[in-house]
Amino acid sequence: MTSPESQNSNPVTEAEKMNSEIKNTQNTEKKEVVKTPETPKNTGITFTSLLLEDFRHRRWMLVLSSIVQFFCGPFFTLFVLSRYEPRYNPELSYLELVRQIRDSAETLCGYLAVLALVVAAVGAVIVGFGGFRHLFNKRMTDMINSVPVKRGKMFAVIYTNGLLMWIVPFLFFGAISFIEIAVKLGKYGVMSMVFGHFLMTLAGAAFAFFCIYNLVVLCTAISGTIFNAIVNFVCLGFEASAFYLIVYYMSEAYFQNFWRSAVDYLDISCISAPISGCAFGFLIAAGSETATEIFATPLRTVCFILTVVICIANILIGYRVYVTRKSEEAENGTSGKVYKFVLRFASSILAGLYTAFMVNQIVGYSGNYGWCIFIAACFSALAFGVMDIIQKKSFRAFFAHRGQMILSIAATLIILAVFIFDVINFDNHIVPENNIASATVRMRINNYYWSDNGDGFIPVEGMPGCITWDEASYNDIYSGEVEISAELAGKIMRAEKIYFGEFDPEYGSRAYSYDPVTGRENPLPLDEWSMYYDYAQVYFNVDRNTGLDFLRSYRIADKDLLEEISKTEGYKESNYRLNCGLLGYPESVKITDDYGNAIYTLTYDEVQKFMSVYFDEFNKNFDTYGINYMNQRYYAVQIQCSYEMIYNSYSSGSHYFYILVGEKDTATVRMIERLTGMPVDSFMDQDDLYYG
Amino acid sequence: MIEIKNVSKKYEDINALSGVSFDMPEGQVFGLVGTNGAGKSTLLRCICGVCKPDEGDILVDGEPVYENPEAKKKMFFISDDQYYYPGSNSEEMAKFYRTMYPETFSMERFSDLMESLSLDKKRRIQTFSKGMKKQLAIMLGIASGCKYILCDETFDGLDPVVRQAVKRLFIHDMEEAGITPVIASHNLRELEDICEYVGLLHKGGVILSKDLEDMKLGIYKVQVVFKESASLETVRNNLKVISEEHRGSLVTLTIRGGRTEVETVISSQVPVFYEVLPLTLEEIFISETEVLGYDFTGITKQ
Repeated sequence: MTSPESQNSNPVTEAEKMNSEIKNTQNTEKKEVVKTPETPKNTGITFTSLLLEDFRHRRWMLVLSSIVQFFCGPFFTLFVLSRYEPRYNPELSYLELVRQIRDSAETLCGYLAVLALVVAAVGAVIVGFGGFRHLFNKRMTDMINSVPVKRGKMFAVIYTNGLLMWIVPFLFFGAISFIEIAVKLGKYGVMSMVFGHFLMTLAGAAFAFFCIYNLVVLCTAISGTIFNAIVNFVCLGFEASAFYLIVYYMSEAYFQNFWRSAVDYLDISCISAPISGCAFGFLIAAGSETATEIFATPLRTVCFILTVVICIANILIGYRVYVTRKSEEAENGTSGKVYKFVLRFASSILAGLYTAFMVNQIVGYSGNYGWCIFIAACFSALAFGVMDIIQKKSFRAFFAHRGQMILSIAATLIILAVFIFDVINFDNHIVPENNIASATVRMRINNYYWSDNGDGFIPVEGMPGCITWDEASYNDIYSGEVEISAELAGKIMRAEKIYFGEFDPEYGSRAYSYDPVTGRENPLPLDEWSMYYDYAQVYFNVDRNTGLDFLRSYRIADKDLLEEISKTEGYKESNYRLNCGLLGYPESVKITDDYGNAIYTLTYDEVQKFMSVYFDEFNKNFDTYGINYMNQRYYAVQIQCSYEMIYNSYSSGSHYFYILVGEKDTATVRMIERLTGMPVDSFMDQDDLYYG
Repeated sequence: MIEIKNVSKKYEDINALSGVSFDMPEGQVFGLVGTNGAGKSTLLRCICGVCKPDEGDILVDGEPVYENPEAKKKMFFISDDQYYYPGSNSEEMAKFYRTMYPETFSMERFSDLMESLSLDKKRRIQTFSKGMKKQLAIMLGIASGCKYILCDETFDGLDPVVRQAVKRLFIHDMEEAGITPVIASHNLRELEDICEYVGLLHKGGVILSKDLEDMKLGIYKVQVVFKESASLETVRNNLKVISEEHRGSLVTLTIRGGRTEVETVISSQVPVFYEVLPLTLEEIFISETEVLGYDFTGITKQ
């Protein structure tokens, strides 16, 4: 191959030739050259010309965006529509056909919304990093900063171009998808619904895109390398959420009476632009009814507004950093001393806490926290050093900030100690009665089936014989909530509690009783603590005058107190609403032995009778079934309900669950004996008592 | 005119420029010379508005340059390693600069220049040699029609033929269009041919900045043979001798001062032989920096 510079075989001749050519060029251009500095030929650098110029150098992004959006839009739509076609059986009644088509159009729109959201999220990352990539390259930065364009204008151009690269293909391919649906299904009157979905999808995806894109731009503006920008994106985007999660997990693991946080994850998600952007974007894309969930609670409304504010703040800060950023920061790590320290500090604490927590979970609860503390310190130091290496782009930087590293380790260990040793006295905290604005309580008398109030089963209106299973409420195993007085709330807080302490290799977790007032704790005798069913779980929610919720879950064995709670006005109604009608139409009731083997299966009429006797007796002897039910022997009665599932798709089947019949429920027991022709004790093992 | 007033710039803990002040008169080729790490590139980057000085002001025709498109459109910066968009060809880069300098950039001029240098406009730049990339950067700079062309080590990597051609182009455009090339370089012999005005930087500060001829008039190299060693002592006492070198009885002195003054003092000592020689820019540079301790002659003794 010939070297590009080896073309000049005779330098002298070539030089003369070149000089004469240049001279000629100069002569022909003479007039123009003289004029150029003074006489403008064009109107100046317009926003559009810069936009086109920027676009010319990253056309590949538009091509990529278009390809992805084509496959996620028109291609996918056509694919799904062709898959759905066989469902539209011409033998169906017109109304049923329309219902089928509307259902499939709605499902398709749902899929499209999710895909649009994914494309928006991934697109925001690619377009954001790609658009501002010159900040990672010194030579490119020099070139961009040397041209006569204000940095603010350049920022606006690149930002707008990124936005257009996502939105133009979205609108274009979205419109094609819309047309495809219109052609295939338009005559069935689904167009207004599809169009509504399309607009909501656009709004949702745009929201997610803005949140993520703005964060990416901010992270790019503060970083000198792509690697640092990604690290910053992960840290700024997810560290605050990760903090919330670790605090949540550790509260659950180490505090005896932590139940749940007063703030749920969606509420708190505004601290993470990618998470909140996608979460709220999904709610918007899911449709107008679901979108109202954004404003479901005042807290969530505030969070939504905060998300928007953070999104705008991110881009304003990004703009400010971009405009004031020094050119020499390209190819360096991350800029901003304070910011860098905060990032190192936070990452170090997070790494320490998560590793310690994971080790504790894997090794198990042993009460020996030595390893836990050692590992937390090691990983805290490691993460701090690694962050320093990333930020400074030098392996020597591992120990560059020894003082700060020690500070981070100390902070990690202090936080760990707060949870392990309950330094803040979480478990013994008592809210003064005069601070209680209102309080509610729910009880669970330690049996899943017994406490199920049937909320999960919903009869389908207008469809006799059908019940539907509401998955969300099915998982709600707690009994009904009831309001209690401040005085009773005070009693609950001050009552003696049971908790499980150090691990005994022979017996598992050892139970203790403790008095939150005195802080006194007593290990329960082995024969007592092993029977740890002998308490009620009390879920307790206090609204304080200060506005903060106080949520606790106590294990209380004091039967007098539990009975007092159960006698609170409205408690019975809220807890024992189980009745035959609510459960739909049980097909069969099986009376089983201890091991679930059917002793007798009732006929349909018997089922109805059994249910009414059972529930009559149950409700009549509420107190017997209530707190005194503990320590009582019971018999398991299996109920089988036929149902039709209306959850995403139609299906039918049966659901089994148990009703426990207490030995003191003489009417039911007698009925069981009459039906089976056997004394219940003959098939219920005397030595293997079940306790409620 | 470019006015540099008390400009300082720091990179973390390193002082790249400290209190640099001088003027770059327009219509002349300005040579920016300096020791390694003297701050030449930093100064150029500050002048063209890429970097913001930590202290001081840089004015281009009376206007501050940083974040001022009106001042920046008079300048074209050719860095020592010019950036080109990946996969682009010369024509696309020319279009880029036409967008950035819409009032002055001439595509026709660019095409003609590329043709005369036998560079293919359609060829992808990443297939160019280092020298060809430099040529392209210079052609883009000249075609930009900017008043000030800032060249950072631009002549490095150019073959002698192209180097001469570029010099001719600069001189031509200087005369015809009134451009002011500012050339930072280590290659002082190259600058000497073309520069009329020189700024000498060392360790972030300006040693001197003046017309090259004036500079040469103020410093002389004298080769002299004295009969007695006392005569040399008298010369040392009466003139500002910057450096001296002995080869047998022949002494070479670098002396600061007027030619008449130098000749008067030396001839008064009735030397066997003496000759006043003109100094090259390189010799001036070495002499001036040696005075400031920038001297590695002892390196061979180690």
